[in-house]
Amino acid sequence: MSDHATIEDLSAYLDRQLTRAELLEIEEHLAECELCAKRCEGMRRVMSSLRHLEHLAPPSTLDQTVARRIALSGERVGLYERLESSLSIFERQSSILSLFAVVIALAVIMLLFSVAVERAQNATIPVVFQDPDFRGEESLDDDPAQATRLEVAGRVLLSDGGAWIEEGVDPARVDRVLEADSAAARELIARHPELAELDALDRPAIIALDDEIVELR
Amino acid sequence: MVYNLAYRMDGTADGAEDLTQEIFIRVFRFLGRFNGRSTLKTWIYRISLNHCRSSLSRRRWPMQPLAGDDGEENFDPVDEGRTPEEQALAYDAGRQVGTALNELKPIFREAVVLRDIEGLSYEEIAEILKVRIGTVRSRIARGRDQLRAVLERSR
Repeated sequence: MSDHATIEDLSAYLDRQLTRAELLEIEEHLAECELCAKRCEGMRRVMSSLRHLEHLAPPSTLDQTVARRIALSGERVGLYERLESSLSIFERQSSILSLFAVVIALAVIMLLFSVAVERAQNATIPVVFQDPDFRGEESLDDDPAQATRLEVAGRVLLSDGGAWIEEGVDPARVDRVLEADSAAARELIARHPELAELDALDRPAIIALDDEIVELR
Repeated sequence: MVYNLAYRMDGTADGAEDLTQEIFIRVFRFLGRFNGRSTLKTWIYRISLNHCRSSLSRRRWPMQPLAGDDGEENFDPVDEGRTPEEQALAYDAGRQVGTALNELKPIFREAVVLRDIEGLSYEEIAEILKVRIGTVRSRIARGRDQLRAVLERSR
């Protein structure tokens, strides 16, 4: 180890994210380096203080407000009541209850999902579910008949199986590739906030933007 | 989960409430596109964080102080095993650290909030932020160290 431990090593040490050999090396260093020991103790205090910050409960009316707003934004009323109950579970925080809540919410959302799939198969709403039976995406990607069309961020996107491509855009002409969470992607989303919606797709999106073709990964 | 994250990212109760409403509407809207590649928990966190980012970037960082309208940070001082004096010190530290979070750059604040307040693993954070584990480790470390420096300056 050089003169002092890096902050990454100290932080990882506090999180027990080091190998046994690294851990021993840091402990040995902390025993003899007052500066690093002080810094490490300071970081430990920060972590402790953050963990003791109160988990805030949302206003009691939030569930109803969200359900109302969802109801106003569409016509899928039957699903909203169930969503509302899942929201209330999601938002009640306590260490044991939150784990229980996640399990219940998962079950409720899976139920919602299956109901929604059923509705989508019969309805005319422009939502295409790629994974109606949770059979795994690979099998769907291999099937050209499963190609989907979405309207996101004010754009029409078509799936070629591996990416979402804006209608009319030639994917072979990509000018720029931006990795999610890169500074360039953040800057782009700051200028075009609607593009944040593309992140929910979990697949690269190729779009035309400001006279160029951009691939967001 | 969602409300807390929104509160820590926005810094105000009103802002957090608005963000939470918008996030759940977004989750509902995109629910059919959840393809199971990630866990539902990290998917919801990701949508939440993206919405916070895009919403707050329009207002420009940094945001309002995290302290409430009365200037008091919400902090739970109750901790069995601590003396009242230790609890008072912890309360004070909590109030300071809550305020100091606002001084962090957003990328460091996100990582610290997800790790130290939401209690997520490095792997989950990497999935949410779509970055490598090494990047997560670095952001958490820098965020914590900057908070440490802010708190030491304020003493």
